[in-house]
Amino acid sequence: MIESFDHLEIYCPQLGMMLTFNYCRRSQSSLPCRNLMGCWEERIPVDSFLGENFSREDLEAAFGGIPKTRMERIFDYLTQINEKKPG
Amino acid sequence: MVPKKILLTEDEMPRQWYNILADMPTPMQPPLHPGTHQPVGPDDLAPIFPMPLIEQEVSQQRFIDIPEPVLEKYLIWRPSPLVRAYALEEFLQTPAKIYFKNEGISPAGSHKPNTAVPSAYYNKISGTKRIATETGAGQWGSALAFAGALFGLEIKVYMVRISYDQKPYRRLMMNTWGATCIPSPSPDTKAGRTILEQDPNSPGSLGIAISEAIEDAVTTPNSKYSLGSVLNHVLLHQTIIGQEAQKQLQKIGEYPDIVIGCAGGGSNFAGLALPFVRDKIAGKKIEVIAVEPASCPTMTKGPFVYDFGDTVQMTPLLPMYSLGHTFMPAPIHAGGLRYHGMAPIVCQLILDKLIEPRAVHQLETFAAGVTWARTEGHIPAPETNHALAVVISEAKKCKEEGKAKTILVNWSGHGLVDMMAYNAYFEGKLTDFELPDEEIQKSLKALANFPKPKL
Repeated sequence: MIESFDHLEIYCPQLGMMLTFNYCRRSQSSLPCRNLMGCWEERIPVDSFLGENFSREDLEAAFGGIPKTRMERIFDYLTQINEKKPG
Repeated sequence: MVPKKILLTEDEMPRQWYNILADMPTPMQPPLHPGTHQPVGPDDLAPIFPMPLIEQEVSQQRFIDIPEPVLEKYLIWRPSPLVRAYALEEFLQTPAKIYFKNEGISPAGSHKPNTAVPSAYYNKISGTKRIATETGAGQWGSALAFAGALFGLEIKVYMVRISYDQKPYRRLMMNTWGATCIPSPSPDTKAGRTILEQDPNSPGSLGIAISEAIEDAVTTPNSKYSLGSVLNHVLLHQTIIGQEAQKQLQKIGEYPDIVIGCAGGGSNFAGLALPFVRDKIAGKKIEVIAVEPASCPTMTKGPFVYDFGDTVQMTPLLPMYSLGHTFMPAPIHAGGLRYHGMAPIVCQLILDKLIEPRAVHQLETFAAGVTWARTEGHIPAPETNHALAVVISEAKKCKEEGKAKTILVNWSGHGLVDMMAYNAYFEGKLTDFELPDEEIQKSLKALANFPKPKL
């Protein structure tokens, strides 16, 4: 069951507040937070949870590739915005 | 009487920020633009930052003057006191001398205004009328709201929805200082509307909030974006902390053996540590420790990265784990490769072995925070507790070794709006290990047929 661990709480260093696992498993547009494995590996069976509840494509989208630096993300957003600007 | 607080007069407050880029043994490489793969230049940054901040971002000048209007605003809470933690020392029965730089006395309750104020100032003199930014739990948003009020700037804060709903006090602080704070994803931006169309109940994320703030800044006239961590100019502004501490210690004839700070994005740690790292580069013997959560290690282990078998040549050499029958990736710690949330300056100084990263578990951090509150009185922010855990651990080590080391820590903020985190700790909701035996066995069984890593 995807809700099995939803009640567990953790201090999220990224947001700076207490969160439940429910947030961590769906914070990227319904996909798990990129840090979920690191944050929860000692508390729940992360591997089997992810394998049972997400497709390979989902997991690739959530965890694939190298995470970007803050500056790289800023430029990605700027590029996207400029591409969307009309004419 | 032995002094508890070592104070500077207003005249003694440093008049310059310290720029470590002038002294780094390994020069920093400029970030590359993801589109052009060329070094990022001022024109790339101009849509989001005012020119004085862009100049500071790339400056190699060792000391940069703090403008008089910024100094005037700093005087609202600066110079911050350096305090000797006598009660904690006594509680720990340690020969160590523990000093903390109290940055929790700023109006927003943390070190963040040290950069929010100059950021607002430089925007103001550059013609900016409004600033858009994002915030997680609200520490940065409230600091910028405060700074915006000081310089008459309109501030719009995109606050991650789950924080907006669960942490009302920070957003009320922002409202009190005149800022607009809205939950992200919001209908105010294309990025937000796209997310809301897919999931009207989206709890939001920092990534979404950043994209909304940047879109807002770029598409609204006379607007800019502001960031309160990671970037070089942010760390530069924070160095007033360490420079004040140096003057204060000099007044009492002390010099630290160990400097400690918690490091999320790296700015409060760097603010205290960089002036001392300068001394270390010049030959001083000093330990400089950056502390992070063991649960989310970016400095000590690097982030978890899934490398997929068909794209990574090294896969056969990596330890394999199972994600069930449909998925067999190789989760690895990309140690030392990439620190996606950490200031590049801090990362480079770690690689140069001038800073030692250390990770602590969350239970240990809250225990340290409670010990601190029950001895020194002030209730620390949860992130500050990470630094305090290492302070206590080092002080105990001093006791075991019979060494009277001087420890200096950045007390980066108070925890008065974070009491729900303490409540979770008191109610036992933060235990490090919660796996029932049958779950462990089930998990191990799933791994049985896969190669085991040689550790």
